[in-house]
Amino acid sequence: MKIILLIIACLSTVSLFAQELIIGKVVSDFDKSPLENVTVHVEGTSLNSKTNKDGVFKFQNIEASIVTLEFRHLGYKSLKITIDLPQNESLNVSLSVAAESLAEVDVVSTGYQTVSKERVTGSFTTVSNELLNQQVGSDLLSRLPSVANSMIMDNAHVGAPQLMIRGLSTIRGPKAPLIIVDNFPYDGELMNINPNIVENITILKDASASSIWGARAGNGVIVITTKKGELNRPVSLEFTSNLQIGTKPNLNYIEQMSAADYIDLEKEMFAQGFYDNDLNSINYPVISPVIDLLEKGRSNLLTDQEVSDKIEGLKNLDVRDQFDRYVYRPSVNQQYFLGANGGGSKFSWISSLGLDRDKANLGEIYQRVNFRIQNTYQPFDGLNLSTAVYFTQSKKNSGRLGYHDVSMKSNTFVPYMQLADQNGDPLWIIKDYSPRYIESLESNDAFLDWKYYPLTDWQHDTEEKKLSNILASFSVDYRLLFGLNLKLNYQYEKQWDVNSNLSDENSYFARDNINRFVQIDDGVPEYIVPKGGVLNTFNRFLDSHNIRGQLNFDKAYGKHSIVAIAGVEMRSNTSNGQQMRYYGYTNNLTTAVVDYQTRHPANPSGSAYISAGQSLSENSTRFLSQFANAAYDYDNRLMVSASIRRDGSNLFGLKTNDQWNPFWSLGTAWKLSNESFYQVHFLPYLNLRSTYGFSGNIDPAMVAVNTISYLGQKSFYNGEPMAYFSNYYNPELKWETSKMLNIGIDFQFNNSRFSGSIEYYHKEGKNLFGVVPMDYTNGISTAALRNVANMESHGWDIELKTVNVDREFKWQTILNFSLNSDEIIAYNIERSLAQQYVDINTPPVSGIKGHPVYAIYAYKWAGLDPLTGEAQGYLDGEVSKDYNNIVGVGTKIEDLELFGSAIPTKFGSMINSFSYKNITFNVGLSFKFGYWFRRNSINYTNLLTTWRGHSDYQDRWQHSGDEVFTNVPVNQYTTNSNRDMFYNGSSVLVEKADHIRLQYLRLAYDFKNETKHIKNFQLFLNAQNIGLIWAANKRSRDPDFSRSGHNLPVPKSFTVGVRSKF
Amino acid sequence: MSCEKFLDERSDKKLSIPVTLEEFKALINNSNYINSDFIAAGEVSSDDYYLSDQVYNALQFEGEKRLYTWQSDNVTRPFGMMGDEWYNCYQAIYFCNSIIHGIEENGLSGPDADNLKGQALTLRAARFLDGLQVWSKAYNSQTADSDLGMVLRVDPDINQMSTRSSVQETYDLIIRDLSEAVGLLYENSPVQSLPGKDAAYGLLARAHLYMGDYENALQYTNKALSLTKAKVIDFNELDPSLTYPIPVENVVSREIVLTTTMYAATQLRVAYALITPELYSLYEDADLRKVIYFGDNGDGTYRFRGMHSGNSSKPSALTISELLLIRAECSVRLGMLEDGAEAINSLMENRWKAGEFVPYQFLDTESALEVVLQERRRELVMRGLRWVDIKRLNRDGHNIVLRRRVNGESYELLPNDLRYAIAIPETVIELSNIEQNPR
Repeated sequence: MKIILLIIACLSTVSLFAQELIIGKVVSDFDKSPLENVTVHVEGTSLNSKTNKDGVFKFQNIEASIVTLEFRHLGYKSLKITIDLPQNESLNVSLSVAAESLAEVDVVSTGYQTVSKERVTGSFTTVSNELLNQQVGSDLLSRLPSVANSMIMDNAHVGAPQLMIRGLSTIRGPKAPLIIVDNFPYDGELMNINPNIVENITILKDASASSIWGARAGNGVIVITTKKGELNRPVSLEFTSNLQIGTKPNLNYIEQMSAADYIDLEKEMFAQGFYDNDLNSINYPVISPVIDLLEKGRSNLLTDQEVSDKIEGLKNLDVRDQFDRYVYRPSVNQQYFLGANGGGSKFSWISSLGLDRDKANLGEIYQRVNFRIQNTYQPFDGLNLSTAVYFTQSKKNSGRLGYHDVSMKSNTFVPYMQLADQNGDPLWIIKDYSPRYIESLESNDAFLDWKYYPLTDWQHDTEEKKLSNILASFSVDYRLLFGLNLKLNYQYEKQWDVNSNLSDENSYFARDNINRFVQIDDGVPEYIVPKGGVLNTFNRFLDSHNIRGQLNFDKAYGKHSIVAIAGVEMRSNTSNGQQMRYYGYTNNLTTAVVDYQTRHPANPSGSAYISAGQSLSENSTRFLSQFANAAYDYDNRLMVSASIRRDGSNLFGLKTNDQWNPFWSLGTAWKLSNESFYQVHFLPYLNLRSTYGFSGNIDPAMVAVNTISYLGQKSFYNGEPMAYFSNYYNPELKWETSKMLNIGIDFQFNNSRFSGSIEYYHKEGKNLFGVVPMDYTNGISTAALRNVANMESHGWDIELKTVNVDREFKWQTILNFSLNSDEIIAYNIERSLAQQYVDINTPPVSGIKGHPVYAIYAYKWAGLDPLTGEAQGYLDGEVSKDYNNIVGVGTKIEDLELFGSAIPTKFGSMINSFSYKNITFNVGLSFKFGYWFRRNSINYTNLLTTWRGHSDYQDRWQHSGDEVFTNVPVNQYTTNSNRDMFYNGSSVLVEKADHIRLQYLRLAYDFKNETKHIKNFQLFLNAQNIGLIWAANKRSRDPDFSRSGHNLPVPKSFTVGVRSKF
Repeated sequence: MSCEKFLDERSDKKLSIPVTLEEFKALINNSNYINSDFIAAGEVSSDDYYLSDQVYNALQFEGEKRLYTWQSDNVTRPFGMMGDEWYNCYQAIYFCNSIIHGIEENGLSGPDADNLKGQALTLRAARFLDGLQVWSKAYNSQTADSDLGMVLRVDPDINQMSTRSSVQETYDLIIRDLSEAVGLLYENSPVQSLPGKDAAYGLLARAHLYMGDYENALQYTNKALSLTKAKVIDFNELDPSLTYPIPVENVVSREIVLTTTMYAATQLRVAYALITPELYSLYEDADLRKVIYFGDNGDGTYRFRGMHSGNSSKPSALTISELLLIRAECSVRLGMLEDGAEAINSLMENRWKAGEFVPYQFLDTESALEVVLQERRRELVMRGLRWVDIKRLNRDGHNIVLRRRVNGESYELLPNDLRYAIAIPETVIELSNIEQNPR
């Protein structure tokens, strides 16, 4: 005791003689709020300090009479102030925001905790709502790739475009990042999230950032933080609104064969008798209009002159013009958003109402209402109660039938199809049956009109999707002793999807069903499918509960500070689906009973069952997790962090050991610029970080045991249930794991003119599910999914922010540049067939050691045969036309030409912002490089059998010598599907996919401080999806829209809008 | 709630691990796998039909054209395009193996479990017998021990290596399984999609007939006939104006003992497959099959419409008429001419216009056999049976030469050509390393 007293005495003595004390407070000049964690440095010394939560800093032991203090804070301009000592009064310092229009987000949110950006070791990217709002539209996530670092939208694969963070982490598992809204994964439809309620978005890129989310974090995590009310704020209102007009899609992008070429081919094939079989068939298969005319001419129903006049008339048509004129319209989207917030000393609130009404190119209407209220109540310091309710209601109605919705045969049609006559009156098109058959029934009263009018059918065949979603949450945050906080969160989500598809009695679908099954007995029709409409309903109900208990610890002991959390959470998600179909539906809700179990005679021939269209489903996912995370900071210089998480789930049949797989991470950071020896004045902020850790990826569809699934339909023989194998016994199945090393450096030059981060990562995916081609003598499949592969990928993420000009005229740039390359490092497959690697529609998983995960391979091309115009390949090194063997077993994988990755290996975005006085102008560019795509071309077999042509037809080889300027093979009859398969898979159709795209332009004018009541009023103009400004391929194909079939580039849109604050 | 319980909830209510009898029954009831996609390649290669050049030229897949013209390799649709018949065959075998294995593994017992096991054994044997006729040479007792047979999968373990057995071993397994099944099955099945004892005996008769063991074939066909509830339909009662005149009751016609349906090969589509004039000319005008089986296309060609399914799908099913024809053939071959005549006549009475049929009376084996074989051909059209008949008759010296003409080119398949054992899909050869048929 004595000793302690003595020490205190000594210390007091020291301080009595002391040297001066400096006290001050730092606030933001933007809203005068205190700034935490501002670095304060005494020039010429090694003394550093940090502001606390209230913005207050303190220095003791200053031995000078004049000192210069330097204030540095991320996102703010550095400031130097010279003061005389001793101080008369507390120093008040106000820092100005460095990049006003791009307001930085200086905290990151993991969904478990919110931490200052300076106090993390992991890799985070944040996107502020200002940056996000440079784009418009009712959808939030589609805005991210053009502004967020390391993010990409992959269009190369079947299905919806896929957001990816840092490239691939899995091969066959789910690739979607985990989406968190505030505290919990969001289970509902992502379209429910109104972009206006978003405060900011944090993207968790490395293992240390995401491993806290455990088994589902392998693909990265996106945390959406919504706006919250704040205490002690006067009531303020916010109103935004915009009107977005989108152009019609460019149908000329579709590589359609010309009508003249098509008709000439049809005439030639008709003369060869190619259609005779169909023309004579009792099944009345569908016949094209030209063939119908030719047949009418041959059977003298029309004169040769009439036939040729009509056919010549058709040659000038292009169905794309018809669609453009009669079907597509500019889209019109309106968005309104009203927000209000305020707060007293104990209570704060925020509330908003959003209305969206989008009318798309085909007249499809999407309407959304969002209502949100969030309250925080602080009865006393240390206890926070908050509740939030977010309610969404939306409705989607179908529109007109577009280019991809109309079909004569096999989802395609002839290029001279006519939707309307010269007066614009709707015409019927042939569909499903020969026109001879349809016309022959015109006078038969037993049959309903069997014609299909694509221009009007949509009015009778309507789809409505109604959705209601309610997200309610409650949280308690209670401060215990010793720096401990107890936090409880509960969230409930329920979503109702009520979808209906009514094909009314005038719709083609209903009439076709009725006619197909009508039976005429002595002239008396019996309607097996009753007259009336067909109503399909599909309802889905989703319920999810999330509950979490968490202890937070945050305490500093002198130079040591520790922030830690630990907790448990439970998650349960159930969804039910019900699908029903009603025949004979009328407006007064009567329906009819139909016999589904009997095979009925059908028209024009054969017999069939009536489709029952009923099914039920029920799925439930459950998770039980434990997690902990701690960060230790020494003197604001060195930091160490660690996290661990274990997940258990009910996913069927996984071994218990695997259910409780732990995921963990470690990280360190060294703030070099805070070291006393650090003297690099032009670089006042320098931080080194590195992390290492694991996260996982699970596919709910993966099951380790033999399971069977019941069919919705009962056996036609005995009415008993029927089942099939849905999974095969696979005891080895494990969760995929993703291991990631991340090394990063954050820097900021003087005056924040230049700041950014550079990160390197190395990812290793283990136990990845992969397709193993199997000897299908086993009877289950030609391929099976197993944990067979390991992949690794590495890359660089560079994020730079520069202020190029900082006067009255300002020019700032954000550059996101990422390099990512992946390769397979192990794939436990012994041998495989080359043809599986040349998939025309989707680049297949390569599965070859050292090759990119998704790669473009092609058959080697040996040019066209100068004598015949046939495509030539190689077999055993020799030029060959043995197509059966080239596309069969004659080609080995090593014989294929490997071009490279099918997904971009270099990509990013650049946003330039210019401002002068009240005017701001933003330009958003995005780019993708270092990958390949396969272009579509003509397939002669498909042309004849499914009518699907391609504009390359006109460039086909026709005479010797043509091979000099074309690679399109001759149209040779008879067709050979393997020859077409070879050409479509050959290297001559592979193109470099590199491109640069102008994503958006935005011009805004701010009416600042116009009146006392209006804090800010902004008028803006925006142009979006402007298109490619450069592409490597010379055929003006957009590589993001190059898949087979017809996907069209997103049309340009133009917006005018206001944002205001009162 | 304990953690284990919380995590025990089934993730998908439609999923279950099969352990109960009901679950295994649901698998065998799945006619999409169990009764469908018997091999069509043999019928496609047979001589009862032909394709016009137009249809041939419009065939979408090169493999389809090659199969039609008896090429020695690449006669399957491309990998992944549906219609790999090797896969179809072994997929059904996997179902059967899983059921047999599941019954044993879960200790299921009692008459219902035995019957189910018998059904799975019978259906598995039916698949092996089906595959053997397409991918192997006709049975020849001299070479059966070395001729390549089927890959004998009798266990659901998917990691087994594949090796081809001999033709003899395949027949041995088929006979062993069917004999075991006979002891387990109920006498008849209430539905034609699943076998009873009658079907197992019928398949034993088929197998022995193909092997040339006429005594056993006769014995088994007699047993099948004594048990079966299938009835011969009198064609006099049918309405030839219907698209498919043969009536069905509960999905298929009452002549069917066990429903099996061929894969819907493009070449065999009703509108495409034209009946060869040679076959059509075999029918007398008073033979009702001439109008019931064949539809007039109006241009001098005929299509086949005598399906026992009421629609365009083509059963390769065991029928009572086939059993009667086996009885007739075996009786004649064994010198029991009267029995043979009786069997044939009992069928023909139902096929000819009432009162017009003059019953056969057999005087010598040779001419009787000729009649019986010709009646067999007339009766069993588009049943997947013609191919094996050609093979076994050529083995016995009948010297049937198959000929086709396509786009002005002639194709010929001489008796006992190696191509009578159709090429196994090259992809499965590549993936499994099993031996391809000698070419």
